[in-house]
Parts: sequence; C-alpha cells; structure tokens
Amino acid sequence: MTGRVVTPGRTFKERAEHALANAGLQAAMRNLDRRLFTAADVERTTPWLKDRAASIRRETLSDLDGWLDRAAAALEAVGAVVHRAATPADAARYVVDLALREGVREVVKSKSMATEEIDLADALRAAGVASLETDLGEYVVEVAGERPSHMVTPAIHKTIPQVADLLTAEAGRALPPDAEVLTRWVRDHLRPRFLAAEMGVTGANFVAADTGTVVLVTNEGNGRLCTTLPRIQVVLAPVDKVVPRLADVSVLLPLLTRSATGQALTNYVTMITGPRRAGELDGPEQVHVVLLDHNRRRLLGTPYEEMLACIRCGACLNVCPVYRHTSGHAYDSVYTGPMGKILTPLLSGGEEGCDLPFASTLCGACTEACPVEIPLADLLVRLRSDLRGPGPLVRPGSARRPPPPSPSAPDRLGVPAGGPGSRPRRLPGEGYPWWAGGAALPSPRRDAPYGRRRLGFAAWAALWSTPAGYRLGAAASRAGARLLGRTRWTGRRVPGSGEWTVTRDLPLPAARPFRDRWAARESGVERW
Amino acid sequence: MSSPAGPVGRLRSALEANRCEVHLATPAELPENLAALAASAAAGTPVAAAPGSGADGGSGAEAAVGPSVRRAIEMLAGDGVEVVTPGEPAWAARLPSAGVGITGADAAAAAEGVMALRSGPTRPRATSLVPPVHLCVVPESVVEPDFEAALARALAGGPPSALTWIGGPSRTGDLEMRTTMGVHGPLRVVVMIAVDR
Repeated sequence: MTGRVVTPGRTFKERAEHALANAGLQAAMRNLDRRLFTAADVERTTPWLKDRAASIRRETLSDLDGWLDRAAAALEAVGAVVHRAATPADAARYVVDLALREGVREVVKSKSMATEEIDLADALRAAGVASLETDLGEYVVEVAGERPSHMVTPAIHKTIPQVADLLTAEAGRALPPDAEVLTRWVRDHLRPRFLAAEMGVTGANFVAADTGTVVLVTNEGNGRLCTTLPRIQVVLAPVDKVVPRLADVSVLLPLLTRSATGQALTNYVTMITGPRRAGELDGPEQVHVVLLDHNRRRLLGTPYEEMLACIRCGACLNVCPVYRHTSGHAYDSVYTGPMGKILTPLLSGGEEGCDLPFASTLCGACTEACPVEIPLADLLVRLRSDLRGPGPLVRPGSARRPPPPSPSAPDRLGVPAGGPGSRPRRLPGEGYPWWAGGAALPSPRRDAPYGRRRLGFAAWAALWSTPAGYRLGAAASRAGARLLGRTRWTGRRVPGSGEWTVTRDLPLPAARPFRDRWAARESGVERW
Repeated sequence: MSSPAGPVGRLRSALEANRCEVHLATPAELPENLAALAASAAAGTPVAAAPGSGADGGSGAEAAVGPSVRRAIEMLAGDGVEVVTPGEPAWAARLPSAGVGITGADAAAAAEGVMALRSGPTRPRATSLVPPVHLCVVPESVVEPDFEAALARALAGGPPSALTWIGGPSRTGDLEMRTTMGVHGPLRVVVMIAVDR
C-alpha cells in the first residue's frame, strides 16, 4: 500500500504492541468512549430501521450486476459520465487523466474511503496535480502525512494539543490547543482553495439506481463545497454503494447516521443528480462517476458476499475491544477494525492484511453492533480457515473434505471464468481459489510454526479419537495433576504451552474419572 | 400560533436542537420580519437572495412564500442594503462578499429537524453555503412529519440537479469527538417558519 505507515511493525501484533505502548495514542482513544453505546442506542430506539435496511441491502446484492447496470444507465440519462473501473489503478488513472486533460491544477477532496483505497491523492500528486483533503479530520491526517485511522472520525488517534502542534507548523504562527480556534483557522485557510478549485472529488454514501442520484452525508459542509464550486465533480463509488431506489435512502440514511454518530441525520445531506442544468448558476458542468469493483463482485455467491452490505458507519470499530486499544494504524490498511480485518484480505485477493483476521477475540461485539446484520465474527472465523487453505494433512479425495472442484479456465488469481454464479459453495478451510498463492498468506507450506502447530493438533486429535487413546490421555493428565499436587491451575503460565496459557487457565481433570464412577454404579458398588 | 405538539412546533424544537435560531411569522409579518432579520445579520455586508421563481418542482413552497420574500428583498434594497441576486452578471464574483444568504425551503422534516433546498436556475446552491449566515424561510405547508415524507415531497417533479438537506450550522466531531461549530458551511442558520396564521 502507500508509504504512509505510522505505527512501525511488520505484523499486526508488532504494530499493536507499539500502539499499546504509545501513551498519547491511548489517551486519544479514550475519546472513542463517546461512541461506545451509539450502536446499542439504535437497537433500542429504532430497531425497525435495522430490519428494513438489512432487507434492502440483501435485495441489492441478490442482483448487484443488474442494479449496477440500471444505475449506470440512469446516471448517463441525467448527463453524468460513468466509468467502470475493475482495479484501483484503473480508477486512479481515469481521474488523473481527466484532471490532466482538463488542465486542473488543484483538486479538493471530500472525505472518501474509496479514494484512500485507490491512493488517489498520491496518484494526482505524482502527475503534478495538487490534492487537498477538506474534511477537518482528513486535513489533519494529510498534514501529518498519515492515513485515516477511523472511517468516520479519521483523526481519532490525535489529541487536540497534538493537532494544535501540527497546524501551528502549517500556519507558521502559534495556534492554541482550542478546538474552536483550530477549526476556524482551517475554515479560513481552506476557503480560498475551495473558491479556486477546478475539480472536486467525493465518495458516495449511496448511488440510487432508479434516478442516478449520488447521496453524500457530511457535517462540515466540505462535501457541499466540493460539489458546488468546482466545474468538474468526480464521484468515486465502489460497486456496493448502489441502492435500488432513491426512496430507500429514507431508511438507509438515518440508520447510517444514527449508527455512525448518533445523529438522526447528519447536518448536511447532498443528493446530486447529474451536472448543473440549463440556466443554473453553480454546480459542476461535468459529473463523472467511477464505479470501482476492486474484487468486490468476486465475493458474490460466496459467504463473504455479506460484506458488500456494509454501509461504512464505523459501529463495529467503536465497540471492538481490539480496535479501541490499538487504533487504526496498527492495521496498516485502508479499512480498519472488524470490517477492515475481513475486507482487506478479500479486496486484495489474499495479498494484504492476512494476519488481520487473527487479531480478534471473537467476542462478537461487532456482530451485535452491525446495523445491517453482517455476521462479522462468523466471517472472521471462516476467513481464518480459508486463508490457511487445505493443509498437507488433508488428503485430496478424502471423504470428509472433498478437494475444491477445479475451475475451468481461471484468471490470474484463479477465479472461475463462469462468473460469480457458477461458483459452488465451499466448506470453511477449502478456501476460494483466488487467494491461493498470496504472498502474505500464513500457510502451513510457507510458515513453519503454523505447520508444526497443525501437526501437533492432528496428533492430539488422533490420540483422543480412540477409546484406548482417550483412557491413556485422561490417565496421563490425572497423573500430571497429582504430580503438581493441585486441582486448579489459575493465573500462571503452564511451561511449554507457548502463549496458550498467558490469558487462559488450564483446566485440570477431576480426581476420579466419570468412567470409574459409571463402572461402580453399573456393578452396584455405588448408587446414584 | 401553532401548538408545540403540532408539526411546526416539533420542527421548531428539532431545529433548535440542531442549533438553529427559529422564528415564526404570519403572512402579514413575514416581509418586515424577514427584512429586519436579514439586515441585522448582514451588519453592513451585502445580502445574497435566491427567492426562487417557479422552480420548486411542485413542492408549493414558491407559491406559499415567494411574494413575501421578494417583498422583503425590496424593503432591504429600499433601506440601502446591498442585495446580490442570481439574475445579475457579477453574481458569482459578488457572492463571497455577502454576509447573509436568503433561501426558501421546499420541504422540512419535523422529527429530524432538516430542511430541503432544491437547486434551480434562480436557486443557486451556493446561496445557502458560502455566506456565513443562512436565513431560510420554511412555509408551514411544506412541513412533513419525518424525513421519509419530506423526501417524497422534495422529490415531487423529479430530482433536481442538487437536493440539499440542511439541519443547522456547520459542525465537526473530528477533534476529540467534541462537537465544534463552524467548519466550512454557514456559522449561523436562522429559520423563519411562515405559519399560515
């Protein structure tokens, strides 16, 4: 990904350790406590929104390609230019080429995770076009040379004094650690750049397939400025942003804002339907909508299809015990927190973030918080198995786990040519062929510790699967417990157990096994 | 005037919760009160006005308050306040100097406290965005109970090039998750609800 890595470390674990030792970061993350009950409040006050929204999202996914075609046709009918981009590079190239062709010198950006996904700001700068983030949090993150750490509140990892120091350097004069003053300075500093900008780039919260309308939510008004003043507007919309009808946003929008910030609606909602019309004095003369796939449509027909229902509210981040302590940069990915742990390996085809699904306690808080009912914890478990893939201990052709059917004419990543519909369902651990061969994949073949562990568990399973092995194992553990002279083993690490007993207690066997008691009862020695 | 439990009363309290300043006016009071509010908020700067002219797509807002808003603008001009209107050639250049932008609303949602503005030839989007104060006139006839109904009303006649929903002054939660007012949009939003009687 980009060179904008803030927390050092090669793996999530290393980066998380850095994050936990960073007192400033830990202090900043306490502010996220304000969102701890936001998702629960949605469930309590407007439970019907969840059901309606979940069904709209599933309806969309059942025919995503159809809705996309309808959205593209509707967008073109209202005068927008539609570009379908298969890859992030393709999407970035389209926007850069457009900027160069139109002689654009500076682009103003409204907050958009999709533009992070395609590294648009870096691509524009490489081509000599200035790029300016205008959302306050995004602006702070850009000044710091970082990446947003939370998709709703991008600078959550910074305290106000840290922001004041950053902006002081930018302003060339001392700015006090006062939110009002800092905010006003950003307003005054960015306003002339808005007035001069020739191109505005935004994401999309929703794209309505019936009217070709792009829906954007903001609180600051930068989204409005980006879609009002520049003569060219570019909308970067991943394919999962499509909704069947504009009327659907009356359900999805309040659910999004309630889950994201606890607001009944955000301060501004902008609904753009094509470029400015005859006689209008402002608004863009050109509207370009880039529909970005980036491996999303590959997920259709797999259990991971559920991830395309995500509305990017950040509720799962706000409640995640891992995210709340490590913050976003530890993930070293565009999407962070529970949804990011799943989406990052999926979107990259198994190339990036493959250790992220393992960075979870599987407590299920994310699943509970998700307003569109994505089974995040289940998907994490499944992804763990699938990323490992069939190991050497699974014999091809064994009855328990049939080998994956060989796809006909797979593409570079191994996706069957027949498209999403032709893909058969698979059991966890069989994986989906397109992420076999990922460089970062912790597989038994490439990663010795995992291989040894896998072998160890196989031997363990074999031992306990036979009556004789069970008796032997149980007798050995009783003997071990007697040797240790205790009936409980709590609060201490068991030697040789690796990290398994760092936070877990070792359960010790009963002094007298059930088998003996049962035998005594059956022979009439005991009565119970 | 209307009861606090009615749609206008609920809209008023929701807008106030969103940190708008809300005033009510009868048809007779409307032009004079609007002109006085605009003049005091402008404090010597120009007033940008986009009263609209039949471009409300059938929401009924134009017919309800258009004449009163135009009358208020005439009164402002008569008092020597500089008025910037969409018809003039230098509109885009003069708009950033305006201290107040006056618009109408085509729909409002009482439960959420939001107002919808349709774009159109005499309704540039920047009038409610660039000046530091936004003065918005909401006719009682366009007040709907909630966002779902207000969206349907705002979309009557088909979606405009821009349909903007506004809850109140610009704000952010990006600094330590505390609400801080006045980022990029207007710093003050003053709402004049034009009640039927």
